[in-house]
Amino acid sequence: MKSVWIVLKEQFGNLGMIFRISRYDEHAEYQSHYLGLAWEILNPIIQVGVYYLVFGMGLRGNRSVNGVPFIAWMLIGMSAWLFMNTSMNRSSKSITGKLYVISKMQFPVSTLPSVTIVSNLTAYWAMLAVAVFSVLVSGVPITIYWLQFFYYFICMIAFTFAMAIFSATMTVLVRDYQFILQSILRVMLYLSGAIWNLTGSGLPPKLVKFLQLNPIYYVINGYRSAFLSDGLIWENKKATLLFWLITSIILVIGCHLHVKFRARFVDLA
Amino acid sequence: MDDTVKIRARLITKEYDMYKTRADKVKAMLSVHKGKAPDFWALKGVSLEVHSGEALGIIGINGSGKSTFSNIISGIIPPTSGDLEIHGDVSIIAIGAGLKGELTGLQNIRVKALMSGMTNQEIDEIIQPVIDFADIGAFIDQPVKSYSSGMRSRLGFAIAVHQHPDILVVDEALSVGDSTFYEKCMEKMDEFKSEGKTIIFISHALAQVEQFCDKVLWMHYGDVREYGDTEEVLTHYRTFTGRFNNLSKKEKRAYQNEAKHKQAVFTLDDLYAREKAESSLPRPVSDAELKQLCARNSIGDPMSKTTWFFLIAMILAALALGTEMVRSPKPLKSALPAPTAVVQTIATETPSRPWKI
Repeated sequence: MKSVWIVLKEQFGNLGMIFRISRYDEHAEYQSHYLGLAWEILNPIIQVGVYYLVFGMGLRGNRSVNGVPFIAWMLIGMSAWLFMNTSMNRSSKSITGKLYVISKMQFPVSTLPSVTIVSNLTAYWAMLAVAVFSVLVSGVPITIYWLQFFYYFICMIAFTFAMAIFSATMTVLVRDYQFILQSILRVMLYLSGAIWNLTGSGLPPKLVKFLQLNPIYYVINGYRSAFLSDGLIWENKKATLLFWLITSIILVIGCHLHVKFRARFVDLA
Repeated sequence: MDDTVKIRARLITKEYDMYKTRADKVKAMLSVHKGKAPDFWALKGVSLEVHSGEALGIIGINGSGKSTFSNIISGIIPPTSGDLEIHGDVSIIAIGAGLKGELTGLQNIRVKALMSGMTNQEIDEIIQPVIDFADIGAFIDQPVKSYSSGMRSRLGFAIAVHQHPDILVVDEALSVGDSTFYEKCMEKMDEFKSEGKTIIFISHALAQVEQFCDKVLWMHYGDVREYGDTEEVLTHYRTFTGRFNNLSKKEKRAYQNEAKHKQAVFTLDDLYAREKAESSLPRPVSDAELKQLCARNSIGDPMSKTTWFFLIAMILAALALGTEMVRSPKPLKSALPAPTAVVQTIATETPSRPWKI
């Protein structure tokens, strides 16, 4: 519990630095590219386009989901999924990638995963704008349900941060972890209901319920319930409780490992 | 000039496990009981007090533990045992250290300054002085990997001194610069000294040490061989190196091997016995405190009982809840009539509007 407190204190104490470094990293990364930061948004749009062709037009024949056009339904989920997927993948390398500089200076290492998360937010806002636009064009009304967005945004950040601090530490300790995570996330795209509707699928109901325990599903489904005005947070008390339990478990283990081993990171470099 | 202690190191040791693979290393870190890995003690109980405004030179032949010690007092690597107090910000300069090869000189300045917590405005203020000080011309916009070792150390030094540290550790970084740059650095370091900042200067160039340092620490295979006034220690060190260099190759090897062997078989109990017989600490300590100083520092705290309890409780709760949710006959999402109906009405009212990209 103490380590969770230490890590969180370091995040909030260095919030300004986290934002400055992430902004700088973004600019530095795309500096030599003609299209620059546009790639941050072009890349996912191409990806989403392909998924729409395959899963929306191809497999589903562009049928709607609960009366909402597939593209709007998918984009809402995909924007959250892409953010979580990219953040988790990149943050797992955040500490190993900066060992060259932290090996010669004192630095609050626990902020590095947050830097990655913050820099991914730029792409997220852009994707979310595209998604909301598609929702509005589809004729779905804006309701009070949309306010739930703020809650699910906090959920998304909390879960991503817990995973990020855990993954970044694990990658330093065991390099193989990064590949394990990558493989799991690749499968998660399909199992988390980001591109196809779990409830409307032909899967056995027990299996669907099992897949719905996934915290990523909770966030994706939550966004959909907010923007498509389809359900409220407290209608699913059990799912909410389970989500926060899983997030807390990962956070406690991640922070503990991080605080325990961070002094030795340089020895392991 | 005030006489506050800036660095107090007491019986610092550093053990390196000579594992062959990373996997062994991680396994040893995770397990409570240490396996029988070959050890190497880079430091065997170094004590030291440095005051503000003092310039301390660290000398010693290769492999004596100078760099290990400087990394420990910079807070970069943790000591295996012993106690370290540092009052102030430390900035360390080693040859080409902490610079990323793919980034340009300018980008490196920014990244290092950002990571030390400076705001963009502060960075904009120091960036020109850093460039002027480094004086590497148009190379500032080139990737650091194309730099010569001299240029790297110039840039490293320029960045470090502009971060306004209280304690500056210079680890052989000036040995690759030319005399003009060396003079410039010396000027800067004198300026620091007069401001009451502490400088730790690690070098093989005895003339530089003689010129600049008030006190000298002579390290010898992980031990403090001598600590005192510059002139005295340097005289002894010169005598030693003179004698050592006159030895035949075979004798040199035998001498080194013996010292290395001692570093391999060293234990913390030896340190305790040594200190008990004759204390090397500047201030006497009680027996209990000495025992604590000679005990291995724990690698972070183990998980507390409360945390364990909470963690296990949370895992059990999550498992129970998960099972319950899968077993319950009710579908997870309860169908809400009102808003869903709204959506459906709208969807049915405008069925002829196919979505197009």
